[in-house]
Amino acid sequence: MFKRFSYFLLFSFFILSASVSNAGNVTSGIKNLFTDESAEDEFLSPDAAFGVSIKQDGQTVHANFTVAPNYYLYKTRTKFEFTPAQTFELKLPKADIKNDPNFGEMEVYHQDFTATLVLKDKISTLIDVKITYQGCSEKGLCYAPQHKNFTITPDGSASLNQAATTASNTSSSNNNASESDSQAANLLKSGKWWLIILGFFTAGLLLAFTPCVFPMIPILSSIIIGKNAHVSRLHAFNLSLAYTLGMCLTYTLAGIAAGLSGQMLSSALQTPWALGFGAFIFALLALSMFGFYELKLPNSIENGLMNLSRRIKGGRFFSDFLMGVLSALIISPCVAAPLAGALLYISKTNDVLLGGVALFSLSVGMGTPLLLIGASAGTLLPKVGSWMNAVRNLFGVLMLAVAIWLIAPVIPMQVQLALWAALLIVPAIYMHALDSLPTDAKPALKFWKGIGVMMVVIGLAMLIGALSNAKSPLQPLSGLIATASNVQQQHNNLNFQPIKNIAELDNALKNAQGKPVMLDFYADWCVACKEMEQFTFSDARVQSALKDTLLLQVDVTNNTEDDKALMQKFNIFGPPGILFFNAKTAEETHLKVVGYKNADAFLQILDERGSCLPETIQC
Amino acid sequence: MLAKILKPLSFILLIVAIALALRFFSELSASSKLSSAPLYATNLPDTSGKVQNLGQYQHKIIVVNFWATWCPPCKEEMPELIALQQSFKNNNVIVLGIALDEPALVADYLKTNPVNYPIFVSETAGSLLGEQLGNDKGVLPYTVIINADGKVVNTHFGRINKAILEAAIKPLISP
Repeated sequence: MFKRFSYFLLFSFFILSASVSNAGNVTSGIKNLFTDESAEDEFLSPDAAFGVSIKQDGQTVHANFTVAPNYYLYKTRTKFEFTPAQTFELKLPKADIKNDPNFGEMEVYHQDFTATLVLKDKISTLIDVKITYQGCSEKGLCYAPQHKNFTITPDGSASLNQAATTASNTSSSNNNASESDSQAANLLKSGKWWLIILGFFTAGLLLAFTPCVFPMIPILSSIIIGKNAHVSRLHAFNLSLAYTLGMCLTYTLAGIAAGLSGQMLSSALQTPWALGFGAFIFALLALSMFGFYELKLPNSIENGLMNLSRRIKGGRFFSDFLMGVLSALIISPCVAAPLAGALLYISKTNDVLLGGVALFSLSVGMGTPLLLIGASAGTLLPKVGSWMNAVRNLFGVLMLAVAIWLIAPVIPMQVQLALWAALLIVPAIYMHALDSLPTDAKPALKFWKGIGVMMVVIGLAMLIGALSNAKSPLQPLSGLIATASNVQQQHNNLNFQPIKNIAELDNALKNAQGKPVMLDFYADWCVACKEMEQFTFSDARVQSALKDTLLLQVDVTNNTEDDKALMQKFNIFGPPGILFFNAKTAEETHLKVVGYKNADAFLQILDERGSCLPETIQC
Repeated sequence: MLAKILKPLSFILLIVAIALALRFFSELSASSKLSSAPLYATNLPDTSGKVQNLGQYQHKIIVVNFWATWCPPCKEEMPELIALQQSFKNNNVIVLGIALDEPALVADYLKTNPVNYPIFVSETAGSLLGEQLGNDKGVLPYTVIINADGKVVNTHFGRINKAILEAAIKPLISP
């Protein structure tokens, strides 16, 4: 019975994704009423149609090109440019001959192929290689020339030349959403199915250990042990499987729906009210952890479910399935980042199936620990005891911390510091930090008191910071120190010129008078942007490196149509994002900065600018 | 006590969730607005290499056609663009061909296949302009139709034909 049910679920999921992908065509059809069916029935983005990666083997470079079915690349228009210039021998495999009424015979590649370049001289420095390729779809569409930059090194490790995005990725962070977005999106772009499934599965597994999942443990335990004390192992496993599938369905559907709406989810999730809503949910969850109430569904729903499950054969599974659906909604704030990445990809490519599969793997990863608990038929579930209460309280405090952290970007710094102070001092008092210990106190008690006292002191520092205009919870006493030594820390004395829309940007670029340009995407609610201002842009070295650069800034706080257009133009999924243009007003795509970079990392990127382009004389 | 509060609370949450969903779906029908401003602000070299400002074509009905010599469908549709230019040249219509290609190849091609409308050649600036006019995937051929007020009325990916062009242009022409 159950088997059939799960097959049914999978089947319906695929049916849904198929119908949804059609819906995607319809929406693009709405956008573009002016289309003849044959030309635009889903053409891939150039990066999905063609790909190139390189492998270096001493002085030999292999460029592996991938070509999607029904697409082709021109042999003669595949070019390699080295900076600094190199003499090299290029070997291209035999191509297909395509007969064209207009062109006569052309040499094209319909399948993946490898070009081999043998460099004449020994490689002594880093060498940039720019690969250009051009191709078309058999359906009567071509693509503008594609350029990809790679770097080859003396020690033979070739790499894709992009600003490495290795900023610290705090777990399930919302303000790093842009960063994890792009990583998730890049992973999806690579189109390697097993890699995508594995990557998202791992992300899900990690998500299962974020604080949001804790409240689900009591729900699950009530599912497995609550209603009937004696369940067989298999039965319990099946119950938790139903629950997990419920979660999966929710994410996959939510993902597909939002993806098709084409809304930039990460920015939608970072609006003040969405953040506030998330924080509110966490505060509620924390209260349940502190035992103010038992987290369960309202009685009417619960009873309805019970009745339903008595009436229908296999109803237990169905009600658990519904529980899974609801739980998924509860913990959605944690899943924002990877979800946003997947959604972005879906909305960009209409490849709903792949996006759906990715989201499905994500939720399966999240469900794995739950499945294990289920398979153990409740033996793995923590038994209630006094230590369990301590753990629950800890989780509660953690969740309140998540709540504060969520709304931090949209509340004044003083309020934020005061909240942190409260969160440190109040639990410390619960830990008896301020009670005098009995003389024969146990060592553990002494230890915890010590920890508690530390928390009180840090909390007090935060409180002082709140009252003395500190700039950051990481440096709560900076306000005092600054006034004491009479040093006015001037944050962000980079003078940005505000840019409102694409037309203004083009004007500014035109009038840059041969200066290189830096374009910064900023928003009031973006924590990483504020950190960039505080710690990176204020650095004297960064400022001197940028003194001859025209600085432009787009404020996307309100996420207007213009803002969205600008972000889409440069494939920025949300602030912070920094782009560079060279003196010829061409974007230096390999230097895109996404997410927070500290001064040192940022300087490295600044140093990479101004590489000699073949057509410029300036270096 | 709290259980009592929880019940209305869960309803509120539900309502908020529905509101969220509604907001997403309301975005669904809103299609993106394209601006023709970038076109008028662009400077591109013509076939003789002279840089021209495309602002000179403001207040005309413009058919911008992005193409390249190595793109079979682009060449297939060219005769139809030539015919369009011929039949509507007295109705304030101008076809602009923008080649994302190398000037030498374009010059060679136009020697044997002359056209009766201006051609501009620039791979980088041309691609950028195409992107600004809604060609997010860098597809060729790509055609944009802008009315005399500077509003983008139509965009078309892939091979265009006479029927589509005329259906789009005729309503724009003042009788």
